[in-house]
Amino acid sequence: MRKYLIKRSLQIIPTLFFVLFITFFLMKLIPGDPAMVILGPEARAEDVLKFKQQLGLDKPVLIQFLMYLKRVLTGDFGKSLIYKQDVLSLIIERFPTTLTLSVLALFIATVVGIPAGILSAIKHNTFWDLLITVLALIGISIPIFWFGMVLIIVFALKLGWLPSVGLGNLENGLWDVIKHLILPSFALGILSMGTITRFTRSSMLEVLRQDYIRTAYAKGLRKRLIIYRHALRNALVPIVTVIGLQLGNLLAGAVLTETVFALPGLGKLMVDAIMRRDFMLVQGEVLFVAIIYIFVNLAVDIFYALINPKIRLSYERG
Amino acid sequence: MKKFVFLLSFILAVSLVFATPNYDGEITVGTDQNPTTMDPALYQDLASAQVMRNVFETLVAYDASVKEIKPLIAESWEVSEDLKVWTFKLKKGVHFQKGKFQNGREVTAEDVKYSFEREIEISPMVRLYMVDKVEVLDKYTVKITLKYPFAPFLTVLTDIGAAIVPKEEAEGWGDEFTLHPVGTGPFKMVEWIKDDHMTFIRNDDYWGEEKPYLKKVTYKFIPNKSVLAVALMSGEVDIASDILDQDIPKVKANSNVDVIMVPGVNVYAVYMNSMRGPTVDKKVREAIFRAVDTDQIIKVLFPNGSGVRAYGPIPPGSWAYNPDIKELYPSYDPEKAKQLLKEAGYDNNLSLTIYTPEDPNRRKAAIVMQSMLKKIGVDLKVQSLEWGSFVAITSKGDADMYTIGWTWYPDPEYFIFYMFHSSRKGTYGNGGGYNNPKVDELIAKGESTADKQERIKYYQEAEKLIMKDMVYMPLYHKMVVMGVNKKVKGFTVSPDMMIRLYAPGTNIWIEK
Repeated sequence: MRKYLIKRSLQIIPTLFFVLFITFFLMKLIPGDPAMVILGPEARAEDVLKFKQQLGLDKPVLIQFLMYLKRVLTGDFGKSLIYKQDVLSLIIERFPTTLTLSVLALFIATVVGIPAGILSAIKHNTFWDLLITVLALIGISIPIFWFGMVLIIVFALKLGWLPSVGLGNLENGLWDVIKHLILPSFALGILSMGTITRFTRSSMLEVLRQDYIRTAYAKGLRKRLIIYRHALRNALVPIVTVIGLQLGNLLAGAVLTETVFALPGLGKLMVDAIMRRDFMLVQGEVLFVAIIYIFVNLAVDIFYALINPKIRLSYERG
Repeated sequence: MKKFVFLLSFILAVSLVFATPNYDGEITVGTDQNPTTMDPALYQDLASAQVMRNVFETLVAYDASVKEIKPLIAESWEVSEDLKVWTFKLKKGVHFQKGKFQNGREVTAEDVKYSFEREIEISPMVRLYMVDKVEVLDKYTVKITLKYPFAPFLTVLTDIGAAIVPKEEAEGWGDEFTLHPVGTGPFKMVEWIKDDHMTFIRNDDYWGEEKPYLKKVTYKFIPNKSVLAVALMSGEVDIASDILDQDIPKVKANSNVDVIMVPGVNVYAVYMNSMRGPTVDKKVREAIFRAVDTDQIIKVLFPNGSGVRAYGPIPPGSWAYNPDIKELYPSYDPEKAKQLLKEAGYDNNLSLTIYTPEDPNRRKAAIVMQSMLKKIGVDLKVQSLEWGSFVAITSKGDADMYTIGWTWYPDPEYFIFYMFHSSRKGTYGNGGGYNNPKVDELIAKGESTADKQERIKYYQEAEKLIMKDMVYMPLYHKMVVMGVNKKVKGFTVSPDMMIRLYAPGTNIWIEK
C-alpha cells in the first residue's frame, strides 16, 4: 500500500507542471492584450506601455514563464491585475462558497440518484424504468442556466418560498444560509443526479445478471437481502468513483450556477478573470482547481484501492 | 361640510407627515457589475466608481442629471485666460471620515496636492495626465498648472479617480487601503464580501450641511440582468441598475416598482475602415449607408423603446447634441446603393466582415444588416467575438467594419476626440483609422476654448465633417433603464448610469 501511495503521489508533480505550462501558454495564445483589456478602450498608449513594463510583459515569453514558475515554487501566486490583491487570498475568500455549493449539490444528487438508479434497475423495462431514464436524461441535458432561472421564477418570485440570489448571512442563523443554497445546489446537482442515476442503473443491471445473484435467488434468499447486501455492495464500487469524479466536476463547473444565483464563488471569479485577461488570477485559479481535482482523484483512488484488493496488488507487483 | 373639510385637511396632514424624509431608511441597490477596488487611484470600471462615490468626494461633481458641474470640496475656482492655470479655493470645514491613522481631520490644499500626485504616480490609466504641477498657495488654495490648455478639465475633476484621500490612511494601509477606504464622503464602508455584497453606513460626522437621510446602504451584485429584474420585483433589491428591453413589460406590470428611462450619454455605431479594404472607397461606404434601414434595426432591437435612433456620434445626453445632424444622414435607398456599388466596380462580388462583441444588441444589429446588404449583393460575414479578442482585432484596424459602443461624460470632447482624432488611430475608439486634419483642428480649438457656446460650435462642426465622410454609421443611443421600488424617494436616474444616492441636489430617502 505504501508503494502505491508513493507512486500515485509522485505522479502529481509532472501533472501540475503540465497544467501550469498549458495554462500559461494558452493565456498567451488567446488574442487580446491584457494591458489593453484591463486599461479599457480609452487608455493612452503611454499607459499601456507602462503597464506592460511593470508586469514584465515586454520580456520574451519563455523568460516570463520561468519567472512565473520561480514565483509559484516559492508559494507566491502573484497579484491579481484587476483586484490588485494577492491571488491566493482572493481564491481562499471564495473557495468556501464553491465547496459548500458543490458538496450540497453532490449530496442532493447522491441521495436522489442512487435510489432512483436502483429502482430503475430492479424495475427493468417497466414504466418506472422508462420514467426514471427519461428524467435522468433530461437532468443530464438541461441547461443549468435556464433551469436556474426557472427555479428562481417559480420558487422565489411566484411562490416566494426561497430567496433568489446571493449568500445568506450566518448572523441571521444557519437556516438563512441553507435557504440561500437550496435552489443553486439543486440547479447544480441536477446534472450529477442524472449521471449518478444512469450509472447506478447500469452498474446494478450488470451485477444483477451475475451468476452469484442467480445462485442467491436459487437459495431462496429474500429479494431485499439480495439487492441490498449482495448486488448493491458490488455495484457500488464504480458508483463511488463516479461520485468522486463528480465532486471535481462540480467544483470546476459551478460557473453557470454562480452567475445565475449571484454567488461569490471560484467559477464567477474565473470567468471575470478570463474575460478581463487577468492572467495572474487565471493561472493561480487553474492551478488551485487542478490541485483540488488531483487530490479528490487521489482520495478516490486510495479509497478504491482499499475496497478493491485487485488494484492494490497490481501496483505492489509492478 | 365643515366636518368634511376637517377630515380632508386631517388626511392631508397625515399624508404630509408620512411624506417627509426621515433619517432611518435602509436601501439595497442591485447592480449587474461587480466593483474590483475601493482605491480611487486604481479603479478602471464604472462599478467601482459607483460604490466609491459613497466614501470619496471630488473637488467638483456633477448633479444627478449630469448637466451641471457643482462645487463639492472646492468652493470656487478661477481659470487663467489660456486655460492652463486653474486655481481652486477649498471649502472650510470639510472633514475626512474617522480612520485608523487620523481622527477625522480637516481637508487642506496639501491633501489635494497629495491625492493628485498619487493618482498620477500609481494609477494604471492616469486620468490627470494633462496636469503638469500642483502647488499649495495657502491652507485652502491650490493652483494646478496644465501641460496644455484643456477646457474640459473640470469634467476630469468630477471623476472619482481625482478624489481627495487622506495621506495618513493611504500610506498607513498601503496596499490594503482598498479594503479600508477613507474619504470625506457621506457613507462609510463597513463590509465587502467580494462578488456578493457591500455595506455602507451613514457617516454621522459628515461635514455637509445636509445630513444624508439613508442610514444604511447595501449593494448586491447580481451578474445576470434578468435575475436582477426578478430580485427587484420580489423586493430583494430597491433599485436595479439596468433592466433589459425584454424585461421591461414584466417589470412595469409589477405595482411596487417603477421603470424609469432617460436618454443615455452613449452611442452605438458601425465604424468602417478607411485605411484598408473595400470600404476605403467612399462609394462603398455610402452604398452601405443607403442599403441599411436603421429604423428597422431599432424596431428589432428595442421593441419596448429602450433605445432611440442615432444620427450622429454626439448623444442627446450631451450638451453639444445637435438635432439637425439628422439632415446629413444618407436616406435609405437600396436602388441608389446598388448603383453606387456598380460605380465602384462591384457586381455581386463584394464580401465584407463585420465584428461585434458578445453584446446581444450589437450582434442582432449586425445580423439584420447582413440580410439588408444581401439585397444589394454584398456578402456580409458576422463575427461575434469575446471582448478581449474583439478589442484586439478592431483596434489594430483589421476589421472592415465593427460595431462600436461608446459611453462617457457629456462633454463632446469624450466622443469626438476619442473616436475621431487621428492620434487615436490604433485604439478601439478609432479602429477605422479615421484621419481628417480639419477634424483634428476643430478638436484642438474645442480643447483650448473656454466659452461653452463656442466649443459647441467647434464640436458640432467636426461632427458634420465626420458624417459627410461617411465612415461612421450611427445606429442607436441606448436609454438608461432602471427599476426603482416606489418607496425610494428623491432618486434621479442619471444619464451616465451612475447611481447617485447623495450628490449635489440629491439626497435619497425611504418612505416608511
